[in-house]
Amino acid sequence: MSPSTLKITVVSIVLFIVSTAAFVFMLIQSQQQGEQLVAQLTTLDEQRAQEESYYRLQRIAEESTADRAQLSSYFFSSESESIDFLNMVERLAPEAGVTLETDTLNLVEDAEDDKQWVEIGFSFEGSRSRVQNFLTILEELPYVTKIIRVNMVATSQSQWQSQVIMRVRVLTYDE
Amino acid sequence: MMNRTEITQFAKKIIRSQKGLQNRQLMHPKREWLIGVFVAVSIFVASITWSAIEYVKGQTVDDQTVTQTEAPAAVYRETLVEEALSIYAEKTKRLDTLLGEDTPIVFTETKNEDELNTELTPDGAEATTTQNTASSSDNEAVPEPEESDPVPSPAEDAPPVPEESVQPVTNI
Repeated sequence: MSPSTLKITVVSIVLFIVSTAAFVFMLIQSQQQGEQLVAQLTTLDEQRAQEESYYRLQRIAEESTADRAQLSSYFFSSESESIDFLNMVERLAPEAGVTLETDTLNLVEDAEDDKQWVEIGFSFEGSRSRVQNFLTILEELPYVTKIIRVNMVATSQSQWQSQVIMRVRVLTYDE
Repeated sequence: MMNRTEITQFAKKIIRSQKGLQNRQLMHPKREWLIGVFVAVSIFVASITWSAIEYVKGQTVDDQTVTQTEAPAAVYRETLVEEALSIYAEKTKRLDTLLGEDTPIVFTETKNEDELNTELTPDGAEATTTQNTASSSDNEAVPEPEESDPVPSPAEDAPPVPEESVQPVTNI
């Protein structure tokens, strides 16, 4: 081989190696960029889904504010609200024609559902129909209540006495 | 001294060299040039094809590769809330009816059991309200018996009110 042929051969081989290396490098780069693109698109999609969920929750919370406030009014948010409840019952008693006394007031935890209840005991007396009427009033109070025990006895010919133990649900959320 | 085999081979070499190079051993510039161009174009086309495939794959990766993530469903049981609100609205209405009466409602044992049994069912709520309203309208013309008329002793005439007639009710 002549020197010029040899020179051209060497240059050709070098150029071939360089171009092959460049091609392999670009191949690897394009694959890596493709994987990165997929990962970024997945992240973007999850973020979009989270935003959608947030806006949906926000809309639900705004639309249901009145309903939820109304529902929460049927519970005691704390034990101290039982005072207002007692005042209401004591105000209703003379309207219903019975004399009322509050016997007990306790905060109890139900063994069945592990929920907190305010247990209140009432004693009231009056005529039989008024006592029964007031019992119905206690059942129809707009609270989440449970009547635990009812006793009704006749103390005289026209007077009846009733003792009621009822529970009102306390609803608290962890803050 | 050369033997016969060596002489024969030597003679064959000389004869072959005298014939010259075979056609396929000769250089044909056109042929070599075409082969080189063909290989180069093949490599070029293959790389273009692969690049085009990768580009299209990257362009449509959003539709094909990435699975659409669904937003986690927010659980708000609206029907349950509305049902609860309607139940308590009926309770409040019944309470207002009870408190709005001047004369108390006289319960019979049967009526008590029926009212208490149907109290919690939304379907029965209307029936309960109707019964209360009907009994209240009936009682308006009827004077209250307890205050003026002598009430028989419970042990003799009036049936005692058993405790079971007023059942504990669980309001949920």
